[in-house]
Amino acid sequence: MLKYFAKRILWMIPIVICVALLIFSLMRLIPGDPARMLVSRDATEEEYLNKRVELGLDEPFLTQLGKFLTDTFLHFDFGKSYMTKTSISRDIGPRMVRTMELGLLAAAFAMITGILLGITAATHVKKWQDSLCMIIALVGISMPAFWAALLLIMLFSVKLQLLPPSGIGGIQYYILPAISVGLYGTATFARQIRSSMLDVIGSDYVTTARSKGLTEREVIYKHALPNALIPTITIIGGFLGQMFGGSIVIETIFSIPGMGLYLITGINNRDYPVVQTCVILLSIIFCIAMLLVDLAYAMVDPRIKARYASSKVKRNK
Amino acid sequence: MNSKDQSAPFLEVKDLEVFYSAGKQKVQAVNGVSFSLQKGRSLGLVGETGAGKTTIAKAILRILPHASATVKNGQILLNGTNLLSLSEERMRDIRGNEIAMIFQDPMTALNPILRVGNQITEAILHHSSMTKAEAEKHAMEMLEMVGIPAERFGEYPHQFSGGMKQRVVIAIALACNPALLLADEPTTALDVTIQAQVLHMIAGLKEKLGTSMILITHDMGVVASSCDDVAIVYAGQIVEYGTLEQIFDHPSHPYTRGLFNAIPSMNIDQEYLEPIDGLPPDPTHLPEGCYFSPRCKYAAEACKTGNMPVITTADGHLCRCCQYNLVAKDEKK
Amino acid sequence: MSANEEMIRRLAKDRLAMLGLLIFVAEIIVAVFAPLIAPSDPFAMDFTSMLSAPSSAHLMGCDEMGRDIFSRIIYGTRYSLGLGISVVVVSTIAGTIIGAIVGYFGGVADAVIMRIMDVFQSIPSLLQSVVISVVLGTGFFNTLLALSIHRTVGSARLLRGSIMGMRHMEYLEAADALNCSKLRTILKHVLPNSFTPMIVYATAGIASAIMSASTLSFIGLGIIAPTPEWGAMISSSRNYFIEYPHTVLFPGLAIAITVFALSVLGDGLRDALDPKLKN
Repeated sequence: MLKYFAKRILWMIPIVICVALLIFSLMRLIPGDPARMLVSRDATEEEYLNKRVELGLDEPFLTQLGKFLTDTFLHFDFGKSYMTKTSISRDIGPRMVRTMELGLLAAAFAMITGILLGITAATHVKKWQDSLCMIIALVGISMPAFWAALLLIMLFSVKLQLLPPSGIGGIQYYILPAISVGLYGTATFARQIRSSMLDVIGSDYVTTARSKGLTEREVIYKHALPNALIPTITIIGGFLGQMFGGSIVIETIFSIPGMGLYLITGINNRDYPVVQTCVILLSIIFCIAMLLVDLAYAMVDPRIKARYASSKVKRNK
Repeated sequence: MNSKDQSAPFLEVKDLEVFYSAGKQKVQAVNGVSFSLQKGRSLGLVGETGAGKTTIAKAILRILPHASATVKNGQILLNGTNLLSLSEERMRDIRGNEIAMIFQDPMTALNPILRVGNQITEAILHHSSMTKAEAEKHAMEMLEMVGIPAERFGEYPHQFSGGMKQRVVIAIALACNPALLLADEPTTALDVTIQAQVLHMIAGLKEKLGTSMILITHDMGVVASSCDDVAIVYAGQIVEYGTLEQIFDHPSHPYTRGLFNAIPSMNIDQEYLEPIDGLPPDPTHLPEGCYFSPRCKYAAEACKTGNMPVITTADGHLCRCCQYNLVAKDEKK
Repeated sequence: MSANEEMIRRLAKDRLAMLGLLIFVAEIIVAVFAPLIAPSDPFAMDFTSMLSAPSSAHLMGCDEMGRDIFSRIIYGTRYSLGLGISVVVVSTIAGTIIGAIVGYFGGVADAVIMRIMDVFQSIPSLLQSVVISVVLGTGFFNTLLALSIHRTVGSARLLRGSIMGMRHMEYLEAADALNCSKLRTILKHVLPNSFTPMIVYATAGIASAIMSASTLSFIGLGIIAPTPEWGAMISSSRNYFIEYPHTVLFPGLAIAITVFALSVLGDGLRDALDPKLKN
């Protein structure tokens, strides 16, 4: 199994380089010249050309690309922001931490609430609890995250004055953003858990567990739930993608200086290096998260673990 | 026949009726089944797929899916206590402890993500005051008893073959030394060569532990090798009930005879087997009168209306057929 | 075609799915006949009724420019539904072509295209749409393209998966044995059999495309004000929402109701097409 995951990690390297290449090329296709934007409106042609040299924009595309790739992947230097002229590698650290904190909180919120809703629905199938949980889930799926965020601010910050509407500080600043980002996950988890729980509850081994005289609680939490969670792990991947995307928007609403806000500011200022760095790093985090999901999948299911263990003889697809 | 000299039988099922409902449709799965079982004996429940055999067993253990199944009527007396009127809590003490069940398909009966040892230990811990270490030791002994080396305690179900899995299932069932074992087609899903091994093992363990057993099967050969009494089930009813000898030597119900005629005989050189014409009735629309009448070559007018009474033909030999005399005469030819 | 009738019968029995279908059809009608239904011009500014609350004159009130929110939401169906449906149509066609090629022919084409798709799929979807729409700029067609690329990859993978799954089915070997051309085999056998997962994916896709489109518009990419796209409406009224919540409440509700309708319709279709999946 180690070999399989080592291969997966190695395979990430060309993927990430390709992502970098793609993003770098796309940035150069954006209409508008950053040098022109950075110099004052009445700047002379000479000042403008100097700016181009300063930013390295005068060199041919391939030279720029080569420099970018070597700096990024060999020196781990993401360059300097066009706007603030500060080192991105230094600026990005705390921002990455904030985005990850938000992501982890949102994921925890989504999983806990999703599992609770899903179990309640599955153990009360076709009763009012089931309908209620599934309606909550459908509402969660239907609400755009940014709209939910505005409604939450309206309710908890403006009307009830319980939680701060923006900024950073203690954990209370993360609660509303985490709920906004996690809401969609809550809904998808609840639906997936309900349907896989129903499959599992009807299965023979649950009947076996019951025939041993175990309590209903033991049957559900020890036998049914762990099995029902396995197919749920696969949708975590999709949820993570949604979550990283969602954090871009949610960070701007709550003014959390994370990677999302950094990226949007970068886009608005045509700050190429900032945009590139954010996209590449977010993709790397995303790939690692997906890999961890696969790893978790293999760890919890002994059958899959066994398959990976014997995959040495199989083809590497 | 020791059925006369004992006052209260060990297990007695009286007029059991079970319905399944799916939406507005109601299915009568078990229609007034009564039988009794003496301590230490084995009863074979024989019938086609869908006849209601598994439902009877699950009703005894009260593990029918409560969303769709309802026990409408009847009593299930274990040593005189009606299981159907017990609280769920009290019933949990009986499940796995006094009554245990072996399931049809060993491939799906074990939890795929728990180690087999833990699946056995769990049942023991639940019904005894043993410590975890003692329970684990006992579970290993159980594994050894069903012929699995104790070292395999920590392995997962997927590491076992079908026959080995069924052994694990048997070990789980016998772990608390139950007084009654419900074996639901324990060998159907296994290879023919393994079937005999497993049956032999169940019989041996049953002997050793003094367990009573209800063996559900559609295989007359299995019945012959492991049962003392036999009940033939058709469309949720017991159509014939007697000792092994009574049923095998003097089958009285046309359906039972049909079952025997469908088995190739070793002694006579048979060119054709004689199948039972028609199909089992649709449980949502059971026929009027005797449920078997549409397929029965002995059916008379009397068979097509009313409820078919149960007739005692010999000492304890019950048959739900008014034409049994004709059947018996036919047999003599 | 009794299988189809059976499916439609099952779908018709699903009340929630029927509600979804009803809402969806009603919204399409609203989109087509928007000029007849809307009480006023969605672009007409009236500074006397700026940010006015809902009243008989303005059912849902007015936005910060004094435009009638109700009329804007009605015209907004054209952009939201139009984008959602076009994204799914474009990406399904493109995805089907790519998926059919790689799935059926396999080999080098498969390996190369799959690796390219790996690259695309390792960028979170919204991030990808954001970057592409930065490059392309705002507007309907640019947004359409920005949203379609990620979905195309998804559709192609889905179709490839189902083709791979049935490549060794006996009826395809039979078709091979009868010397059917590969193209004919794909058109006659493979595509119809991949239809079920595709249609479910497409219905759910309209919902998620509408959601992504409104999100892009909200952050100032996608379709921008004064065009009455729902996400753009929320974006432009965002600074006023604390005092005038109706300005973001109604456009958001419009998105939520549409996505809800498509989600329940998608669920219903999935269950009707494959009753095995229904619990």
